[in-house]
Amino acid sequence: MLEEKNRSTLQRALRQLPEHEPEASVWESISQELKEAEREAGLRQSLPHLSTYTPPDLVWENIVSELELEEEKQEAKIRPLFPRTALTAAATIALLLAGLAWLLLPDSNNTRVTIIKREVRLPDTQMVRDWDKDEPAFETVRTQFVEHPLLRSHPKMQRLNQELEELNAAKAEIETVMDSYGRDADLINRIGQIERERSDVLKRMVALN
Amino acid sequence: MKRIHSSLLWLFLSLLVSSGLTAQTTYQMVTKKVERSFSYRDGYEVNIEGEKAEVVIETWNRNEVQVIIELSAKHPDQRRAETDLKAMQYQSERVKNQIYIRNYLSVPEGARKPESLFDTRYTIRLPKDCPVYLKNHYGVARVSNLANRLRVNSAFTKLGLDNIQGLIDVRTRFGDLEGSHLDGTVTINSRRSNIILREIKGQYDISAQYGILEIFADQDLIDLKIDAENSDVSLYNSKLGLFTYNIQAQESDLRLPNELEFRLFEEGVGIKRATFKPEQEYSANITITIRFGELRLQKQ
Repeated sequence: MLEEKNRSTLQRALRQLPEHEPEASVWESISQELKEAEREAGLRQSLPHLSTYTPPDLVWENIVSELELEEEKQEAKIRPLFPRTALTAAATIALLLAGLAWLLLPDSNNTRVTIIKREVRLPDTQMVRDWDKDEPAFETVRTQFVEHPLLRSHPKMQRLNQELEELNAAKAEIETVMDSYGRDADLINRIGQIERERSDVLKRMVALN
Repeated sequence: MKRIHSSLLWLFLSLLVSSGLTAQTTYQMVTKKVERSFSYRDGYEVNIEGEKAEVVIETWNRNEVQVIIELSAKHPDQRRAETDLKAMQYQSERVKNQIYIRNYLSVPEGARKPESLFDTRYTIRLPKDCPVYLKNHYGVARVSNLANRLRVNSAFTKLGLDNIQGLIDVRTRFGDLEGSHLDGTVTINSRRSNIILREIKGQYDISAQYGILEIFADQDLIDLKIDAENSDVSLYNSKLGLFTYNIQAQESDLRLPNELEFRLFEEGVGIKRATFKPEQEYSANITITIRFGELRLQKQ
């Protein structure tokens, strides 16, 4: 067992040590930091409940192009600033971040956008819109044959009517595309093809009579 | 003087005739060309959604996916074309294992409605093992040299497939499909689309309504199953006698080759059945069901 020597001398020396009161600002600072920590804890608890937003492509492109510019500026004056351990740690963090970015972010480091302007001559298709001219004929056939009390229950008439409805829907679909993307020769050709098929169905409806 | 008058008359007449035949307008075409590359890893899939687009998919030996998107607006007034082009949006990004590429029109609320003619062209180059999903409406698509998995969903689109191997799944509505040198497990669902397949190998399951099917198969065909309605089907082969046939036709014309001795049965009113088995023990199966159409088997 160890025996403590000069115990009374040690106690006397301790009693003689000067006492210091901390300044009031120290307690205030501690109290402030505690409040800050409390607030951060509250925020952390709310974090999982926040909505997540994916930034638009353009934002990443801008960030990457700015980073590349920055890299280019700094390229000439690279010098070692940190000891090897710090570099290793930094490289590890960078790898982890790159892995995370591979999982979450789009590759956006190599987009090139160019604008090209030129003059082209195209068939004048804006005046062409005559495919509804014969709609009265379709309407006549519908009232006289499709809705005819004897013919409408005929299986062939029912099948032809289904065909016609499908073609009507296809025609309406192409007209919607024309309305958005413009009335070009390709879409006019497609309408023409649908109209030929509609005419064929109409003729077969009449032939059933 | 008389000669000058006659030349002027000819010039006038030619202009009149040419303008009548080919009424044309000069358009200012503004194109935004976007080029982008993605490094490729096994397990990635390229997912393209084109609208009113021409899509070209090719393969190369590099381990990356190159995407070139050309968005165009055409209008007689260049400023209008430039403004309208802003409504034509695109997306080209990788999210986890999917590389998404698409175009769409988006007019901001309250903005003037675009008046231009719009077009999009995609050129995609990728490794041949990269699986592809292509959805294209109201356009054209050409895909070549893929060797893994191709899925296509198209409407009002002319689709060309050349030298594709592996799993192929095509759905087409109001379009046309022309395929050559296809080899693998192929599923085709078509409605109001014409299909031409040339020099095909492998297994096929084709369902078609309201279309014309022309199939030129060689002896490497493993299995062919066709279910067609309101369609005309023609099957051409240089060695028709190598296959086992099982054909059922309802209200349809059957045109079978005289050199093969088919067994014919009447299975009901308007329902015919035709079967043929070659002499060799093992043979590929051709099973065709057709309703309200025509089937023709012909030596190539």
